[in-house]
Parts: sequence; C-alpha cells; structure tokens
Amino acid sequence: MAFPIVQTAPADSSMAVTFIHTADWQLGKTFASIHEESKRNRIQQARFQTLRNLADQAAASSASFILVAGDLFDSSQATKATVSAACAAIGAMEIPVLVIPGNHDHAGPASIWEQEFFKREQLDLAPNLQVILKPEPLHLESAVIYPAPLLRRHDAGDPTAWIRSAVMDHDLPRIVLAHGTVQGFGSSLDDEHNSSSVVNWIDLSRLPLDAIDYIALGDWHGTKQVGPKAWYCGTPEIDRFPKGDANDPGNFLKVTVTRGQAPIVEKVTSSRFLWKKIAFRFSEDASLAHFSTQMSETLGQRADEQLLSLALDGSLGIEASGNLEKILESWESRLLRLKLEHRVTIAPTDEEIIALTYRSDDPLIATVAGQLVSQIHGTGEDAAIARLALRELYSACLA
Amino acid sequence: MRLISATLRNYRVHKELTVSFDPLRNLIGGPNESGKSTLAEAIHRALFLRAKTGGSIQKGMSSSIHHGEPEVSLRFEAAGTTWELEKRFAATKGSTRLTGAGMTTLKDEEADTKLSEILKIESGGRASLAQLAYTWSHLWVWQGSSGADPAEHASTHKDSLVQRLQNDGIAAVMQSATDQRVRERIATAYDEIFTATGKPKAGCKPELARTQLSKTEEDLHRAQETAARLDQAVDAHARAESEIAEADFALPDLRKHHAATVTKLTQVSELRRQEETHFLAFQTTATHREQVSKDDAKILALHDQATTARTKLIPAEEKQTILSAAQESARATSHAADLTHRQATDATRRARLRHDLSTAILSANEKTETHERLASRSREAESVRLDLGKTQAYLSQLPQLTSKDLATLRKLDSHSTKATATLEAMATGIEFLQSDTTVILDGLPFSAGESRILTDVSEITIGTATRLRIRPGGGASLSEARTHADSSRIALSDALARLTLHDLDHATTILEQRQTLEQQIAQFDTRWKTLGGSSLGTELAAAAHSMDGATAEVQRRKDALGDETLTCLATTLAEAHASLLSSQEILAQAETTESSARRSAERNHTLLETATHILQQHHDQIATARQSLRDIGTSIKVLEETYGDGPTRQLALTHAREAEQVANHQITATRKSLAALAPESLTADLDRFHRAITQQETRRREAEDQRTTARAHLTLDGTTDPQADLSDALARHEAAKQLHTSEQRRANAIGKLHQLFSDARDAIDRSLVQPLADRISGYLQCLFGPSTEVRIQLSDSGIAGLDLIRLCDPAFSFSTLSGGAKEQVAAAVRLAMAEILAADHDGCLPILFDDAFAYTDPTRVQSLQRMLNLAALRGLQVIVLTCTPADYSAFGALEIRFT
Repeated sequence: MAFPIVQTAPADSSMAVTFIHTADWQLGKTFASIHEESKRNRIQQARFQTLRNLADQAAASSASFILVAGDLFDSSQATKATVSAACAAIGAMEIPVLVIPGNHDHAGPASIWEQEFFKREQLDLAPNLQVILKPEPLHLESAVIYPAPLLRRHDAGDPTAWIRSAVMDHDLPRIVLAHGTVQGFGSSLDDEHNSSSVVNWIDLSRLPLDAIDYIALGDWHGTKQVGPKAWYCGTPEIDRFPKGDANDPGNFLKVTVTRGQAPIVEKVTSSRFLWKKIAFRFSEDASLAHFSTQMSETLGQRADEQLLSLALDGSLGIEASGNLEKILESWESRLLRLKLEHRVTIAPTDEEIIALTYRSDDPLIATVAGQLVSQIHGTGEDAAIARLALRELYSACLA
Repeated sequence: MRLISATLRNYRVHKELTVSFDPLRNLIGGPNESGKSTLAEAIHRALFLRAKTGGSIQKGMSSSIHHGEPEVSLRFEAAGTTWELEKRFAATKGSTRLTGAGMTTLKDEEADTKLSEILKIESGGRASLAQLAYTWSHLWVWQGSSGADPAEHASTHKDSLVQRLQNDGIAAVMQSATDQRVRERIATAYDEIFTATGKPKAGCKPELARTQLSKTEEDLHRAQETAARLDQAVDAHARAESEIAEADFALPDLRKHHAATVTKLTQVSELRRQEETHFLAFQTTATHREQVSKDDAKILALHDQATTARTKLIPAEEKQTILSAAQESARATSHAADLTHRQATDATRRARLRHDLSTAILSANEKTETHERLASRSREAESVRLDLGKTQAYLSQLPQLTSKDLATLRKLDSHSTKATATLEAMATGIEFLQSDTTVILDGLPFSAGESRILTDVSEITIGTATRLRIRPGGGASLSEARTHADSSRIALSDALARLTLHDLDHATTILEQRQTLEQQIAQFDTRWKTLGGSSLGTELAAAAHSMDGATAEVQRRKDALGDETLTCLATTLAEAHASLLSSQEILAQAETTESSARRSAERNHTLLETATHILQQHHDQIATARQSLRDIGTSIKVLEETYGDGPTRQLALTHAREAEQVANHQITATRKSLAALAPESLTADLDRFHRAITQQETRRREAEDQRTTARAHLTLDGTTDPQADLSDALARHEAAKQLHTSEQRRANAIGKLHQLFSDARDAIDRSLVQPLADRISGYLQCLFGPSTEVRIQLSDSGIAGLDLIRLCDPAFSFSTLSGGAKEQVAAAVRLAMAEILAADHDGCLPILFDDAFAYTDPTRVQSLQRMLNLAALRGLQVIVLTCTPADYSAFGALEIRFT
C-alpha cells in the first residue's frame, strides 16, 4: 500500500512545527557476529558518528525537537560506557530529544531509565533529553505528544490503546509516538535471527486518525510509510542485512506537521555502512572467475565499510575449490563482515580425477586417490570428509 | 659375480696362497689358526678396502714372518666377463689393478671406480674401515656373527631387494619417490594432529578448536544463565506486581465487608443484650403469673381438701365407739382365761414335784441296793487276794526249777553214773579191813572199814616204815575213765548247786511242789479278776457316792415339796416304782389341763390385742384427720392473708397475664431483629474477612519482598550488559562451532588419508616381502621340514623382524630361537637375499660362511648341507670355511684343506 508524501508548505506556518523522527538507534549493540574486535569497534562507533550527522541535520533544518520512537539502547541493561556515550551524543543535539522506551530498552523493573547512573549522566550531559515513561499527553510549546512507552519487553496489549479515548481539545499539532508492530511490519520480521511471534501490536485503525496529525513509529528498521500519517522512520544506521527490496534502512525523517493538515515528511539518508547480500551458484570451474568479478564490482573499493551476506551454492573442482577458499579468505579480511553460507561442494573434475588416479609412476597415490574418489559422492559427512581428503591429497601432490 | 680364484701374498700367515674355487660348492677345511678366516678377510678387503689404507689396519694384514706388503689377487666373473684384481695394501703406496678379459688394465682410482661399477656398490674397492663392516655383510658371514638378526641386513638391502623384485616382476607395486613424498607430507600433517595412538594431539588445531568450543559453550551457558536469571527476575517482578495489584484490588472491598460485619456484630450484641433483658422480664412476668395462678389454685385446693376431710371424719368417730366396746369385752374374757391358766399351772407344778420326789426315791433305793451288792463282792475279792498272796509267797521260797532243768539234771546224773560205773569197773578197790597202825592212803588217813577205789598209782603208808605202791590196771583208759567220771560228777554237782538242790530226788520233789502252787495261783487270780479285780474298789466308791447323791436328792425334793404331808413315801424299791407310776399319771393329767388353759388364755390375749390395735389405729386415723383438717385451715388462713381473698387473687392473675403478654411481644420483636442480622454466620464472616485481609496483606508484603528482591537482581552496576553478553556468547559459540566442525572435518580427512596411505603401503610391503619370505621358507624347509614357514614383520623403516612358524607350534620370533637355530635361520635369510640380489650380478653371488654353524649340532649339519646345496642349485657360489670339514662330507663340495 502506497501513501502520497505531501511536501507542500502548510497554509498557516505559525502553527507548523518541524521535528526529526528517528528510532531504533540500538546503541550498545555488540555486533557479536563480527569476530574481529577492531571491526566491531568501528561499526559500534559509527552509530555515534551517525548521531552527530543527525544533530547537524536537525540544526540545519531548524527542527524544534527530535522524537526517538523507542530502542534508543539495544538493551535495557546498557553499560555505563554506552549510557555516557549516548547522553553525550544527545546532549550535542541541543534541541529537546523526546524518547520513549521500546522493546529493546523497555521500561521494565530496574530498567536503564531508572538507573541512578543514567539519570546522573542525563542531567550532566543531556539536559535536553526527556524520557517519557507515562502514557499521557505531553504538552510542548509547539505540539502535543501522545506517547506509548513500552513498560515491558512484550506487551500483549496495544500500547496506544489509551490514545483512542484521550482528550484532544487544543490547537497544537498532535503527534503519536509509539514503538511496535503494525500489520506486516515490525522488528521481529526483519531481524537477522527473526522469530515469528508478534508482540507490541499497534492497531492504527483504532486510533482517532482525524484528530491526529502524525504517528511516529519505531521498531521496523526500514523507512516505511504505513498510513496517511503513520511512518516508520527506520534505523539511522543499518544494523542487519536487508530482507527484500522493500526494506529501506539507514534513514531518519524530517517531519513538518500542522494541526489538521497532512504531515510533510522528508527522508534523510544517514547510514554510513552498507549491508549487502549476494547469492552465487557455481556451475563450473570457469564460474569462479565470474564470481570474483561480481564481487569486485559489487563491493568496489569501499569494502572496509561494507558488510556482506554471501550465499554460495553449487560445486567446484578441487583446484577451483581451493581457489575459492583463497578468494573468500581475502574478502573476509577486507570486508567489515562476511556472513557466509558456504554450500559449495568439491566435485573433482575429470582431469583432476585422472591426474590423481592414473599415476602409473605413483601407485600409492593412485591407489589412495582411487579409493577416495569412490567415496566422494553423496551428501553425508563421510562423503564430505572424502572430498576434503581428496583436496588435501591434491594439494600435497602439487606441493 | 663368482669367484674363480684367490691368491694371497705376505698376508698374515700366508706367504703365498692360491685357492681355486668351484663355481657352486666350496669347502675350505683346516684347523684353527690355519688361515681360513684370513682368506675370507683377504678376499673381502681386496674387493672393498682402499689399497692405500695404512695404520693398524694395514699392519694387521701384514705378515710378521713374511717380508713384503700384503697383496691379494682375485679372479672373478662379473658383468659378463672375467676379471683380474690385484690389490697391494701398502698405505700410501698401495695399489689396485683391475683387468677385464681383453681389456686394458685399470689402476688405482679407475680400477676402484670400475670395481664399484662391477660390484654395484658405491664403496666398491675403496671403502673406509667404518663402511667395511657393513659392505656385503649379508654375504660374508664372519666368524662369531652368524647368529645376528638377519632383518638388519634385509632392511639395509631393502631398496636393492625391492628393486630386484620389481625388475623381476615379482612385486606388483612399488611406491615412487612422489608417493613417498606425498605420503610423508600426509604423515607429517597427521602427526601434527594425532598422537601415535591415534588420539588428538594437545595443541593441534582441532583440539584447540574443541577447547575453544568447550570454552564458548561454558561462556554461553553462563550468559544464558545470567540472562535467564534476569528473565526470571522480570517474571518474578511482574508476578509480584500482579500480586500486589490483586491484593490492592481485593483489600478495600474486604475491609469494607469486615467493617460492615463488625457493625452488625455490634448490633447483634446490643440486640442480644436486649433479648436477654426482655427474656428476663418475660421470665419474671411468666413466673409471677404462674405463681399467682399456682397460689390461687393451691388455696382452692385446700378448701376442697378441708371439706372432704370433714365429711370423712363423721363415720370414723361412730366406728370408734363400737370398737371401744368390743375392746372392753375382750379384755374381761382374757382376764378369766388367765386366772384358769394360773390355777392349772400351779397344779401341774405340784404334780411335777411329787413325780420328781418319787423318781428320786426310786433312784436312791436303786443305788443303795447297788452299793450293797458291790460291798459284798468286794469282801469276797479281798479274801481271794489274800490267798493268792500266800500261795505266791510259798512258791517264791522254792528253787527256780523247771521241767527242763530237771531233765538236764537227770541227763547229767545218768552221765555221772555211767562214768563212775566205768571207772569202778576198771579201778582197784581197797578196803581197810583192819590195822594197828595208821594207814595213810595217798597222804590221807585210811580208816578201818573204809574202802577206796584207786584209779591211779597210789601210795599207802602203813605206819612209819611201810610204804606200799598200788598200781591199778587199765593204763590210759583208766585215766580217761577217771577223768570222765570226775567231770560228769562235777557237772552234776554244779547243776545241782546252781539250783540249790541236794540231789535228783530233791529236784523231783521241788518241781512237783512248784507245779501245784502255780495252778493254785492261777485259780486265785481268775476268781479275783472275775470279782472285779483292781477296778472293784473304784466301782464301790462310785456306787457309794451315787447312793449318797440320790439320798441327798430325795431330801432336797422333800424340802421342795414343803410341809405337804408325805403319807405315801415308799421305803422299798417296789413301792418306789409304784409311787413313781402314780405320780407320773397325776403329772400327765395336770399338764394336759394346764396346756388347755394356756391356749385359752393365749387366744383371749390375741383377741384383746387385736381389738386394742384396731381401736388404736382408728383412733390415730381420726386424730390425723382432725390434725390435717386443722392444718388445712391454718394454710388457707395464711395463704389468704398473703394473697388475698378470691376476687383479689383473680384481679392479680389478670394483671400478671397482661404483663407476661407484653414481655413476650418484646422478646419476639427482638429475636426477629436478631434473626434478620443472621448472627450465626456473622462471627464466621468476621473471621473469614479477617483471615482474607490477613492473607491479602501477607500476600502483598511477600509480593513486595519479592518485587524488591527481583528489582535488586535486575539492578545492575552498568559494567556489563547481560543481553549483549548473551549475543556475544552466542556469536562466539557459533563461530567456535563452525571452526570446530571445519577443523574436525579436516582432521578426519587427514586421518582418512593417513589410514589409506598406511593401508596401501602395507599392501605393497606385503607383496614385496612375500617372495623373500617364500625363498627363506624354502631354505628353512630343508632344515625343519616342509611345513616350516617364515613370516616377515614390516615397519615404516623396513623389515622389523622374522617369525618362524612350524606345524603345530606357536610362532617364534628370531630373538627367542636357540643359538643353533639362529645360525640356521640367519643363513637361510642370507641365502634368500643373495639369491634375489644375485640377479643383479649375472645370477650369482658368492656367499661365505666362516665357521658360521658353531652351535649347530651334527645331526642338523646334515640338513644344513641340503640347504647349502639348494643355494648352489639356485646359482649361488657357496663357500664354507670350517675347522670340521668332515661334517660337510655330504655337501659334495670342492674341498680345500689348509694345514
């Protein structure tokens, strides 16, 4: 379902307010799948750099405030270092930053929001940060916020339910701030290790849409309009491999709303790192060259700022298989992360089999190779071991 | 290669020695020190030792008795031609010359090089001393080394053996250098991963991966536990919140119900107090009403009782008058009867006195008569007793002689008489008829007219001058008769004397007197006892006492009868009997009369008592009735004084009933109010609400505690993020798992390769060594029989050892064989190797045994010759050096003797 993005100026600009809609910063995310520590540190630090860019954009667009629709932290038990870094980044934004807890940093018992250290850092570093923990209207100078903070990780009910009967008798723009899943969209659906359960369900259809001017949603990491006035802003820094073309992560939204009018929404790309997916099937040894070329073309020279989910299939001869391993070894080193689904099997070519088994001068090798060749067929572990043994034998013969 | 001849010059003991060899079989015999081993050494050194060898080696070869440098010349066939080799060992001046048939003679280096080529050995002709010991050591069996393990030689010459077998097409497969290199590479890779026992080696990649996996599993487990604890704390917190919310929801309602119940209970308490008051009031009014009713009824009842009592009293009083008259009549009748009875009683008493007197008199008469009879008998008894005493006294004066005593005396007398008669019949009688002088016989004066019986020698003195001795006849019999007569006479005399008797007649008289007296005494005693004996006195005294008593009784009876005239007193017993009978009749009559009078009096007494009793009873009843009537009257008076008269009491009763009704209404109303409050369940309700409130409050407190505890668990210090740690641990574990799988798979691949190579190598080796084993077995069968086999143990480095297998025996390794068997098995191996290697030397190699069978017994030597002959038949040139050549006579060899 597509909704038109209205970008015309409001009739009465005195009632209009511009703000930044962002969410799912998930600060403190470990990126544990990246094994090398220096790479892991880079991607973690990149998120703070993105926040600095966001602050610059907010200042440049004269935004009145920034709305963070949940999951500012990756965990409700974020470490002190993460808390301090987050507060420093928010403090640098200078304009009010309004945050609701999401499912990752929910306001459950003894949550990060209650921690004395957080409150102290908030006071020292980010006096402009306001954490909204109560589901009640928050009146700002230029707008009224209707927040739906998550008080636990999984809320069986609709966190926006209270807004259905909320009194809206003022003339300021009315903005709903919520974190959860709407029909077909939610973080659980595009997570790398996704689960099928759907929680924190937000039923947009039951909200008084006529009385509301904008619904700022978080949780879905791609930028997505899910209603005439409802947007998922997505995460500002991509943190997972994309699922499908419709997913559009790595942005934040600059929104201008006027009471009673359609919101003006502008997507601002902010992600520093690229997360890509490639699938390749080897049909013959010659395809190894194609694969190498495609990798170079796709990743270009900025491999150190890219993460790649690579799915390989098919089969290669012994020598080509060894070469593939070398290519992969290189890319694993260059890329920030290479997530590899390696299903390429070793299928010795006829030449290789002949070279190993028809060795009249080397009867021992020929005998051993002949026995291995008879065992390489099939998908079982024994066959895999036989194929590997054959490759080792092949390498030993070449050495 | 085959030796043709050898010539030694100046070589130790040999000045010059030339030996020509048989192409196949040679036996060189000679005693010890004859130079056999020197020959073997000289040939070996000619072939392999550098000619320029000096020092102690060269000196050792030189002869101490022959001048000149040691020289060895060999003729041999090799490489298809005949060669002449001359080697002079002279240190730096040493030289080598080698000449092939039709060829130019080669010298020194050229010669050695050619020799190496011919012998196919690098050190041919120029081996150093160190190499010398190992050169062709499988063919030259030195003295003392014949029992060494031949496997060493087999390993040393393995490559040559393999090459030879391969060339012969015996071994099917042989590994190449590439095979070997690849195999070693795989083995190296295997050794990096596995130990000798096939276990993963510490520090190898798979093991490191496994350790890493294990560590990441532990880390993951810890992270999961931490996360799980946090989740549990979140759940516990949520549950506590829920509990608190539920308690907070429930408590106000419960408290409201509790308060309401308390209020109701207060109302119930008040109503119960009122109920109690009203009940007391009701009880009081009811009691009062009942009392008034009771009092009224009581008074009315008393009035009724008085009327009834009065009615009943009138006929009672009339009856009392009649009863009084009847009592008086009965009293008069009773009095008359009493008088009659007293008179009869008196008459009876007097009759009984008389009767008693008569009885006493009769008794007195009877007892007097008894006394007189006993007195008469007592007198007669006394007379008898006196006679008895006299007779007993007379008897006691007579000797105590019995009939038996008399018989004894008579018997003794008879004996004496007979003895005296016998003596007298035998003795001499002498009678003093007359003498004027005194005659003394046996010292006793013998008077005239006296006669004496002389029974013994007696002496008669007549006067003073005449002495006569008389000797009676009979001799000893006389003496015995005299003794017997004396003893009989003495016995009789003693018996009589003892009984104080004079003689036998006296005894007879005395006995008769005693018997007469004893009869009399018995008669007196019988009569005395018949008269009463000793008890008669007692009876007489008793009769006298009884008589006195009866007499006194009569007197007392008389006194009792008083002054009544006793006209009829009896004086005799008959009269007494008659008087008694008369008095008995009178007494019986009087007693009958008295009995009748007594019964009449008693009957009248009874009638009087009955009449009196009835009258008294009636009198008492009337008194009681009158008293009762008076009591009723008093009660009525008292009650009416208390409760008033009838109308007054009726009025009071009406008032009491009204008051009771009012009180009843009040209590009914109060109870209705109470029932409306359901008091029976209020206390339970109060307990229930109290309990529920306590439970909810406790639950809330516990939930608060749980919430506090859960919050404490959830409150972290900010140094770690459990969720991040868990993600990290999961990722690390996954990576470790992948690495472990990859390394394990590679380790398995290397292991598989290694195994395949080992298996293939083993197969090759087995095919390689089997021809050698077959040849060795062929030789050994000459020694140990056709069932003997040899098994060769293989290792990477070559042949590790040999096992000898014989039928029905377990396998023996070479090292366990005896000294002799070792020599023989080693010889077989050498022969087999030489046979194979000979193919590189025109089909022949010399093999030399220098006293190589020192431990072999003579029997086995015969078999040994068969084995050596087999080697010769297979083309080898066998040279046996022995100090006992006779043992090898069956070898059929060319024999060369040293002396």
